[in-house]
Amino acid sequence: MSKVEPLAARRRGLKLWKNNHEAVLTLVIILLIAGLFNVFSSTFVMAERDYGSPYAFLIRHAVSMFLGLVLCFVGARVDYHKWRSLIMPVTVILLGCLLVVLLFTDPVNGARRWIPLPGFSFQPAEFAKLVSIMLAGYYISYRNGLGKELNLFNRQLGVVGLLALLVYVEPDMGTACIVMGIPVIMLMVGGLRLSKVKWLILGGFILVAIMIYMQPYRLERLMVTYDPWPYAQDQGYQTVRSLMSIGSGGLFGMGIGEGLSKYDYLPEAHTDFAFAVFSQEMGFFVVLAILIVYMLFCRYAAAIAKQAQDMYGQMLAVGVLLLIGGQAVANLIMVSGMMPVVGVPLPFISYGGTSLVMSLFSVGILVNISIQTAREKEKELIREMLKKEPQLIRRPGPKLRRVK
Amino acid sequence: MKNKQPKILRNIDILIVVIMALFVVTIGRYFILQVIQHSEMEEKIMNIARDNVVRQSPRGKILDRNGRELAISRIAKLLVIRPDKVGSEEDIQVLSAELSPIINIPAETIANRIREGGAYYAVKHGLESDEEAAINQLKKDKGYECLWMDDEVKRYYPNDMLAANIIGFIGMEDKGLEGLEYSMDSIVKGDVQEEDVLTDMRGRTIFDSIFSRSQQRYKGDSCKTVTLTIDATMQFIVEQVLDKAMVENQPQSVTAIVMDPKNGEILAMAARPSYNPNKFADYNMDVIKNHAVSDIYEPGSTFKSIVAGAALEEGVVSPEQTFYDPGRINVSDKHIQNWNGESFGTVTFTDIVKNSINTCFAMIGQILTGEKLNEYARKFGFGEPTGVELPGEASGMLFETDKMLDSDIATMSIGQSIAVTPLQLCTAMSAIANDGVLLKPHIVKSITNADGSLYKENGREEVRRVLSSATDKTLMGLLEQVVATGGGQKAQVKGYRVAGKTGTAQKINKDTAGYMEGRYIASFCGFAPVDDPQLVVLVIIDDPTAGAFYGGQIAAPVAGEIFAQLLRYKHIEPTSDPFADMDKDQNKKTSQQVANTAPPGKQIMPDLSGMSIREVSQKLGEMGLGMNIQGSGLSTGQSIPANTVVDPGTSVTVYFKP
Repeated sequence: MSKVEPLAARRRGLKLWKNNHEAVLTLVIILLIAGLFNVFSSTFVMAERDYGSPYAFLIRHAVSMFLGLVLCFVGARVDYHKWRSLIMPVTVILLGCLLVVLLFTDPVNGARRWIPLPGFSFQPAEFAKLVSIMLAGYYISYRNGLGKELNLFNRQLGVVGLLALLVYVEPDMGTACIVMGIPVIMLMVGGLRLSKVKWLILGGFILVAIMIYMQPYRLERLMVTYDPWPYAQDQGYQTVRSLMSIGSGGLFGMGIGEGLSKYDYLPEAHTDFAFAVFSQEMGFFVVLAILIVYMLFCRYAAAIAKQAQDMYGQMLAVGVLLLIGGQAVANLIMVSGMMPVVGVPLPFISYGGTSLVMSLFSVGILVNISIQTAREKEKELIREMLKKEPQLIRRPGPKLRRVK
Repeated sequence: MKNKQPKILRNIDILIVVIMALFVVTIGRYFILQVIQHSEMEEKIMNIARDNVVRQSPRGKILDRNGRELAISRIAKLLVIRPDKVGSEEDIQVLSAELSPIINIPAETIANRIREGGAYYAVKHGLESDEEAAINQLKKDKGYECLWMDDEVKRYYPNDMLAANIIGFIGMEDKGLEGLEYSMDSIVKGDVQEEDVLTDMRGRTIFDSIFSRSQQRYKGDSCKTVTLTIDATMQFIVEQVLDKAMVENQPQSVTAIVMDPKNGEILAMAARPSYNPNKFADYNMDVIKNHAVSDIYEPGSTFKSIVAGAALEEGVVSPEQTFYDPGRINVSDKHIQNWNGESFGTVTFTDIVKNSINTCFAMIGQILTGEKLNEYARKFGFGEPTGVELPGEASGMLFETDKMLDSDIATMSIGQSIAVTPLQLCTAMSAIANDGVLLKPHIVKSITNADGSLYKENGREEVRRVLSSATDKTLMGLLEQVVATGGGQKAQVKGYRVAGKTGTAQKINKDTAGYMEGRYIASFCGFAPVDDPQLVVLVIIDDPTAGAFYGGQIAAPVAGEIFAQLLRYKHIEPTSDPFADMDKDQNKKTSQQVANTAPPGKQIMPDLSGMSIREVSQKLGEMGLGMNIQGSGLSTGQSIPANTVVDPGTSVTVYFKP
């Protein structure tokens, strides 16, 4: 199959990568490396203090990364349509996990999020993000296949809503927003009528109003986001510290390992606020480079989505695009103080095993969609070639084949 | 194909544009923060992270003349809890329960204090090393953030009450409040240095600051060691004798000073009741102040030695000159009478001094004139501070010469209606003991720098010659007679020649300026040995209530005991055989008594003569001394003489003969 691609490459001029999924993988690897550096730099102080070894977090991160890369390989190799048939049992298991988390685990820092297993623990909520994408993708492609209009109220979205609710009461507001938000955006991309989008927006407002009514501190958080400095000691603490950390980096940064913030000055310096530490140590130029890498990832993910062979693949690709790119931009905006602080990790860079594994697995699925597209394209290309030059059927070989 | 719905493709384009726009906004935001607001943000975080560290070197030591530590600084660990970071009630109970066995404080006490809240709770000062290790382990196991240990420089007085009134103590922030700690504050005070370092949230230094000077224990350049002229052993002996005097006489207080007349060094200076400077807050000011320099009192008859010196020097009297004692005289409406109210008849000047005859001294004063009296008083150092390194020294009170009435001359001649400090009197007596030359008293022998080099040394400092050598010899002879056959007989020490003068003064009522009936200050001031004075001792017993109140009755024996012990301690050879007029029983009794008053950590060699080997070994064994046996039979001699102060474990060779 690869024997055809060089032709296409030659037609488009010099390229860093032969196809979309190579681009995606290259970008992800860049981010993974940046993440490794940052996890170590932002945790060695804490790890030394709490676990007696500066490498405690780095090792866990590396183990998760290895597991994630294995899953990425599996995702890239297995036909993504096969996941569709697994969706029912997986959803049931996930719901079970979320209930176990809520009912049987002890709260850590006031929230029940982890299922402790021997040797490690995992966050079902991260898993829910991927499952909700699959559910939404399944629904959209199913309705389109039937030639019917998309609906806001259906079984799949109902399940997604249930997942989001369970995550929300953990409480994990950020993850709940992602679990619910990505399918909704996918629905809009998938062709939800504008009239229904209106209802969606209205519903969103009502939801926000109810939440503010029930938990008035959320309104405060919104106000704090507008101007955090007067609240530097209480609600605005994290934001203010994050802004200071980013700003103190300057153009060239304080240097790897030389950042101040990890010395307990910035809460969650290795997870949600990892990028603040990164900005402080690396400076604006590297920050810009990383942002461009995320943008390129979105661009290639979008390309994969547009070229996907069927509706299901296309919607899955949009979902993964939102999962990686959307979370990234949400995190970056939150860290830079333009959005209230909610728990959204920065994919590949924040420390967090389940998130990393799930992100890599979803990248694997994205790669698989792209591979199938490429395979399909190649078949098409060969068909076209054969139509133009029927003699090639008899003599396939040296003339078409280029030596690598 | 069915998936290539143009509408969906367009929606994906819209989505990607929206995301890209968000990214562009984010880039702008990071640009503003990192480039435009960079210096502002950097300053903000540095303001939080930068910490001004004030480092203090430990306060200098105060040592006695032999290098024994009287005041030291040690680094102590202080356990601190942040009550507001402990957490729930359950956490409080767990933490208290865990800490309680480590630091021996009831869990309920800790828990109650934590419940009160606040950001700082100093749980325990001066942690022992095993407590420190246990707390470190606890912190490591449980990861307590609310618990930590601080370094504290703590002043510590290892001998507790010993010489407390001299040394004083320090208050907060290394500031001397009393005694030498106060007067020598600028000398022994630790150095303070400030430095900016980067720290983490809990104030521990990070990055390069870890290597900064603030991490090292700061030695300081101006941290000097003060060595005193005080001999801790002599001080201890004196304090023990004073304790005994307190019990026997039930006075308000007793004060004693021991000086070396040859160089003005103060060897011991003690007061009872006293206090423990390690717990100074538990005591009131009365026991803390140093009576020996800050109190003034009427010296009474002890001052007659000064008057006698003046009269002899001016040639108004000679020792054999005779006077008639009328028993009672009136001077400008003031009655002067003798202590017993009776007449001694015709007496020599020697007798007058010996028996402290008031009437004759009043007459001699009149002959001498007030002008001369005052001149000699001032020459002997009265009326102005001696200049010793101790704080709060009083000047005393003398008459103004031109305003003196005849009655004033009479009372001054017998040591009344003037006021002196104990140290002034002791210094004046030292001048008599020092061939008539007044020396400046001092208590600081030397000051050494942190590196061990000498910063300052105080030696013998002559003020003036007060009496001619010949006069002084005569006066010393008279004063020896006081102890040998006169009113100061109870200060006698067998085998030694002691001189001195007793005194009994009525206490002055500070409110009415009159005398208080039945309230006395008994004193004795003297020196020994007369042929080569080594020690001057002043004992003042303020307001004795156990019956006797005359200086010769109660102060002289106290001084005698101090003389007896200190002369032996200083290995001063007796001029005559101390046991010449004693039988064997008394001999034994004396040695027993001596052994009872051995300095701390020392033993006094017993007299072993005439004992069998078995008896000797038993005796030495009890005292923790070793022995080498030479010969057999009964002991005839020992390599270390009896009554010598020795260290425990010292071996003595004992000679036996059948």
